[in-house]
Amino acid sequence: MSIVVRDVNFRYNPGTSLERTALEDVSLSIGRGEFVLIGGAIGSGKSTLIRHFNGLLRPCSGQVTVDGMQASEKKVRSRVGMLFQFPRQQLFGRTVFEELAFGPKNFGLRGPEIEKQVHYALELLGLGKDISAESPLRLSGGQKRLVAIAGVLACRPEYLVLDEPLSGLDAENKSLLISALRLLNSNGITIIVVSHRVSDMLSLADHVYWLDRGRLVFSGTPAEYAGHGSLPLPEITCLMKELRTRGFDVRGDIFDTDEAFREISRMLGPKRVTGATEQ
Amino acid sequence: MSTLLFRYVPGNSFLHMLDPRVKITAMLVASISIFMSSTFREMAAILLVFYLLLLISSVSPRVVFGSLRPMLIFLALIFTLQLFLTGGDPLFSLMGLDATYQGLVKGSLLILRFILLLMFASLLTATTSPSMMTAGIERMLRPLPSRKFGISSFDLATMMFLSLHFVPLLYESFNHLRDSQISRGLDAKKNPARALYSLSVPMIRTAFSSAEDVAVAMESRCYQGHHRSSLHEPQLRKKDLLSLLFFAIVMLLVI
Amino acid sequence: MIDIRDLCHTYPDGTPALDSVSLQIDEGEFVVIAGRNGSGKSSLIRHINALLLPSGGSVHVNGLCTSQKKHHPAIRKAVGIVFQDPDSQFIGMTVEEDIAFGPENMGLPSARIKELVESSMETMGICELRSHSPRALSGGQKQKLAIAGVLAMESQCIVLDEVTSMLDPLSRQEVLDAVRRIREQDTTVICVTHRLEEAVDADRLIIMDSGSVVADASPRDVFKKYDLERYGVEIPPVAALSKMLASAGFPDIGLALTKDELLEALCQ
Repeated sequence: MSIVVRDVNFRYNPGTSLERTALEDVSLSIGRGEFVLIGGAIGSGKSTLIRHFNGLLRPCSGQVTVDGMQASEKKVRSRVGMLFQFPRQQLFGRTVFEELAFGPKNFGLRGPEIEKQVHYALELLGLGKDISAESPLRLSGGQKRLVAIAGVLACRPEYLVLDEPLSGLDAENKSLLISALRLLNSNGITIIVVSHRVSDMLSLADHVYWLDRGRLVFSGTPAEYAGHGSLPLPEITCLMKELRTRGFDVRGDIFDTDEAFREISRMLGPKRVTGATEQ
Repeated sequence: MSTLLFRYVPGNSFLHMLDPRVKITAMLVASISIFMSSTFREMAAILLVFYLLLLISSVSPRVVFGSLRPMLIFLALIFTLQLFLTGGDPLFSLMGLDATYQGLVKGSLLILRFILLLMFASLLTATTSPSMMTAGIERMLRPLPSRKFGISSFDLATMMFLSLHFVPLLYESFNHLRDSQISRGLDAKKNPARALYSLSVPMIRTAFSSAEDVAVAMESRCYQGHHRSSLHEPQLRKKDLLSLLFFAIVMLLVI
Repeated sequence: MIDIRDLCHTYPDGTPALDSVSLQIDEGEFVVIAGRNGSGKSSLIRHINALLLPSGGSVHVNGLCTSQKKHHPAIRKAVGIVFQDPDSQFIGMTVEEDIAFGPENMGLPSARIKELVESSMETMGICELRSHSPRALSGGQKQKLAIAGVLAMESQCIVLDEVTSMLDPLSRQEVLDAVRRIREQDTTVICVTHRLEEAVDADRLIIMDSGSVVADASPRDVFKKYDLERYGVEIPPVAALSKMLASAGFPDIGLALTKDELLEALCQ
């Protein structure tokens, strides 16, 4: 049970003067229940790649399968939920309920079933039932984004793909969203996050991919990512690596401030004790 | 994503350097002679003039044909209608309709006219940057009494320019939106009413909010709707006027 | 050069955005304004450019009051804004034409506009892009173009409204380097952000919350004295780490704002 991308090539506007290669020989496999980061600079082909996961785009060569089915098959649409970048004007429902019911209605569900799906989505994200009567336009930026995610979840996807979910959010809303994603993942939903800035979520991820000008240049665990050397790293990781090169006994694959704190305290620990006894 | 349609191709040719007012007027002259021409011989002559201009402009023919491509279906439709609906000597018949010789001639002439017109228009846009075009139109509109209605020629030119700017912007947001709705199972064929609602409501909001963004950006850069100058101040030189005169004479001789 | 006194602002629908803000910004200063979404920072900077007008109090730019409409052109020439979303602020079809938009509005002669366009493209290092369409540029290039558009108006003060929030790390660094070049030319820079890494070398860090200024001091003092998490801003991870270490009883570490500072402290 997985999304499998095999030797995919994709060109925009093939055969015209605007032809542009977006993906070159990309192969990867994302298993059920994983938390995956796909990184890369803007224009590296990330958004093109995820549009292959539910058949919005079809590869020029190579193939994409979802749980064994071709990604272009209709049945795949409900399995792979996708939330695109900048959903600032995406919501259209008069109420949150109407917004969330849109997906299930499209997939042919009726009255009580729709209600069940909507509540399932709200519950998964830890949103209260009272929100469903509100107008999406009145919500705060972070809540709007959660409602947009809920709109996708109401289709009961197995895989949730998010394109730059944190962009434009402040610290509070970021942590709100990150904990929502963690909750979803612990409920068995596969999370695929696409971002040019992977540092915020490295500690959550099972696997990291990095795209550069349409090619997959890295695939590995977050620890391997940290060891790679030429990919953008969180500042904390750089600090720990530099401490290591200066001869300190610390791990170099730490992305999280709390973890770095524990590691440095451990390293400095004895020092502090001697300092204290001297006084 | 930029489109092939009526694209500006930066360059330094004689045509690029001409005053935009001259080129716009020449376009009008060309359209008049295209519509006055009535034989294949005349059209061939106009085509020859066009070919010479294209050589001078050093614009790739692909740009010109790129502007034609989306019109092909429309042209084919016009041609077919003319072919079958004109009375005269039958050539062959299809589903009870007779294609006539006269229809063939009339249809060919008509679509040739359209093609010539589109070709000249795409040459105009290929050799004239949009800001030159607006500057040219603005100056040509200046003598009009539009100010009496509270609209200056500056406003008109900017309005034109902004609509050029907005189309690709809105097209892009529309694609984003459609992709996300399709991902939520929207099937526009099966449920057109729902698609219309779920796509148009956010699109209208997007249009308004981007309009507001652009308006704020313009205002913060001192836009006041009057007294604008231009980076490329078009200047009518002797060369420009002579070229226009020469072009007009050629076009008149041709037909 | 900017003098804000008891500024209040209420949106037409009655929600208050600014509550009695007073602030002076001198020529050549580099000021960072931070705060959570909706804290009033965007409204504040729109007052400096006369895009919003005070409901109460006053805003003066170079001694000119923003409430008087006749001063608006002069104020907007003095203070230029670069916005967050690069796509909706372009007006020209080519890089050159877009940069020329401001000077064109000021009615300058064509030759002067060319000079200004040329020099601001040079400062931002985008000369080779002159005939590109703004839409075809990368995110970082777009923001550099937007800054060049403000430079061409010979503004004394440039306001950057979360210009790096949509950029990837590499483009972000490019833009920040370009901003540094502007600061070297003694231009006042006001930068709105919720990433405080960009504030470490600022002269002043201002924190806003629910429409008021809650902190206004050097970045080091603000980091030291305030519990910034309460105001919904992102503390640079390195600064947070050094704060944690200091409060856990490693007093010789003190407060480090950058990675190198912390490294030095740890190595001793």
